[in-house]
Amino acid sequence: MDSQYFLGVLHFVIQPASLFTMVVSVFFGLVVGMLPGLTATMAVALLTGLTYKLSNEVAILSLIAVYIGAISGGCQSAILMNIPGTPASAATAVDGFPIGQRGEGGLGIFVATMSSCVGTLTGTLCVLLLTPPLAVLALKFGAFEFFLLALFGVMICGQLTAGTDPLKGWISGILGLIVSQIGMDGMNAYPRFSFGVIDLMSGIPLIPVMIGLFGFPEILYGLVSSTARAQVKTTSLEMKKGFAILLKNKLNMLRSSLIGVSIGIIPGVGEDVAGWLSYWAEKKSSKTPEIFGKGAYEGVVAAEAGNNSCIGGAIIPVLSLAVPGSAPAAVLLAALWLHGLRPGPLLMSETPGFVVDISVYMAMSAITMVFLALIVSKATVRILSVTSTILMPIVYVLCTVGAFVISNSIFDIYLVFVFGVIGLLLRGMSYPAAPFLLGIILGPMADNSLRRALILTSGDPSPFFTRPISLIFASAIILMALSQLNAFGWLRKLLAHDELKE
Amino acid sequence: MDKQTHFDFVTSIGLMILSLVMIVDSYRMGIDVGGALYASPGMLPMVLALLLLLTSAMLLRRSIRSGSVRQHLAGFVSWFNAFGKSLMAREMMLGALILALYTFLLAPRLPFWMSTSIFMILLMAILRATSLVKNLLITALVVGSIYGIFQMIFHVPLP
Repeated sequence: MDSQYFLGVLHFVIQPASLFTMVVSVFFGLVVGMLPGLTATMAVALLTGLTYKLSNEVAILSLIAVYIGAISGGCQSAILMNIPGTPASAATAVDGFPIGQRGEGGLGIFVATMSSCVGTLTGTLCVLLLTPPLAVLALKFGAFEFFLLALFGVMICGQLTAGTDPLKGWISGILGLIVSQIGMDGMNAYPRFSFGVIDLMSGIPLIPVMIGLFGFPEILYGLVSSTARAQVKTTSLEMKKGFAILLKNKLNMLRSSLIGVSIGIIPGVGEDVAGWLSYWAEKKSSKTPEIFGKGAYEGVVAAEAGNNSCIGGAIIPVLSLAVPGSAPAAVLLAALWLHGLRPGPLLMSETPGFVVDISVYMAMSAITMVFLALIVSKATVRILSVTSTILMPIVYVLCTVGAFVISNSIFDIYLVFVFGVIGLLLRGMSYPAAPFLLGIILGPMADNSLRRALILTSGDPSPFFTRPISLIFASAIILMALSQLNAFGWLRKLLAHDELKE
Repeated sequence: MDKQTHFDFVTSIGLMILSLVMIVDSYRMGIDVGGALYASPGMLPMVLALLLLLTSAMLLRRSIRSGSVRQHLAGFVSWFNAFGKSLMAREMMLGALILALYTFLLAPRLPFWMSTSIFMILLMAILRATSLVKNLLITALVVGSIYGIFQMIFHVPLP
């Protein structure tokens, strides 16, 4: 049965129109990923609006292709300019730029691009293998579990994206959940926090919020910082040498890819964390950790395999639970909804071939990405010489067009600006934007699930702590909260005090 | 003292006020709709408002531990004054103002090609991004491409 789906989707992908869409989208992703300040989230959000009128298959192929292109493209500016094109490539720059400075920029780009491809393909394999069992597990989820899953997702995302200050990550997530409550509620059609504004009564649409939150601050910072960029030259690719390096790093690639997939499955965390964790794991396990930071290919391989495999990891919960694993995956989820698809526990029974479709799109995009990135790398890096004062006005125009075309509403353009200012404030005060976004995505699920659960039990909250899956989520949430309250520190002190007494 | 601590102090108070307003509003929703509170549209907003109150109180407690209320207020005011005088802040404000002009005035009132041309020429000229000829060429190319691709090929309406 799966082979039938596989052949069907393969037949669609090799059609000239699909191939053209894929090549253009991967190229667009590579360019966006390469340009510092423009992120994969923004690229996917922008393209969601721009591909809205296309057929479901073409639009989703395009979004997957741009996602993969954007995450992979970041390595080129990291290696040649020491500026990660996207946050996902930050770890790549640590060893990538010294490689570029050494006059091995071409080889560095080849190794990074191939590692990205291997990472994406590993992620794709995991999508195929892990989505069906996770969707089966998700069928055991009831209203109690879905509410706690939403809360857990926002909390863990806040915990992991806020650096040393999880409290700010949680506040950001709660604010996102609050924003999601604006508009008519799903059960009583009561207009919440709408203040009589008709546009607000239909709720806050996701795409303008995402474009504003992630794009606007970058545009504004880009407008005021048009400094010339120091750039090292792209040298020849030296593919033979590159393959030898990759062969030497096969275990590194496998470990980093698995780390990336695991990080991707955690709601809202994303590719940047995956890149750093994979890099850190490789450095820790290396017999020569002192060479890291000085142009070690091992570091580049680990970071790129890690951040790209995270794409697959992030898509797994999107398909099985309708919970995004990263910020770009959150936009992808919104795009799937826009196109009338219903990712979640019922996906496997309603559209059983969809997981195969997504996997083939991913694999084909990864292969296209390798060819495009290597063929056009010398030309595309020239785009980096365009100053941000020219680029950012163009990007803002595209942002407004992308936000407008989804529902042909001027109000959506206003939202881009308003949420852009909110994104700017969040960044200025060190609040991560990812939990805010995840809160907006998971808010409706949390609302409906909480009320449905309490109606089922006539207001009795005990099943939140007695049902097995709920108990796991509830325990994790409580442990996270206690760790922030320093409860374990107090406990340790108390135990030490008792020992002294004895 | 770190400026972030001053920000934390001010934002925690703002967030606490917001959460209190939300608690009242959520309670009102329950009364408006009737029935049990747990089934009312105000249930999750109430829970979220309580969580926001709790977390912002923790933030306030943390910032107060690092300095007195007076120190935080003075620190915030002096940061605000310095921010207003900095060149980067002024440039950012100017940039934001032009983006706002395009978003709220030009885009809703004028046809796409006209509003976007005015916006791009004006912004690139103010930022001294390039020469006037190049500015006009880039604007024409961008507006023409977007108009051609979306309006003429895909028949997508533009703002």
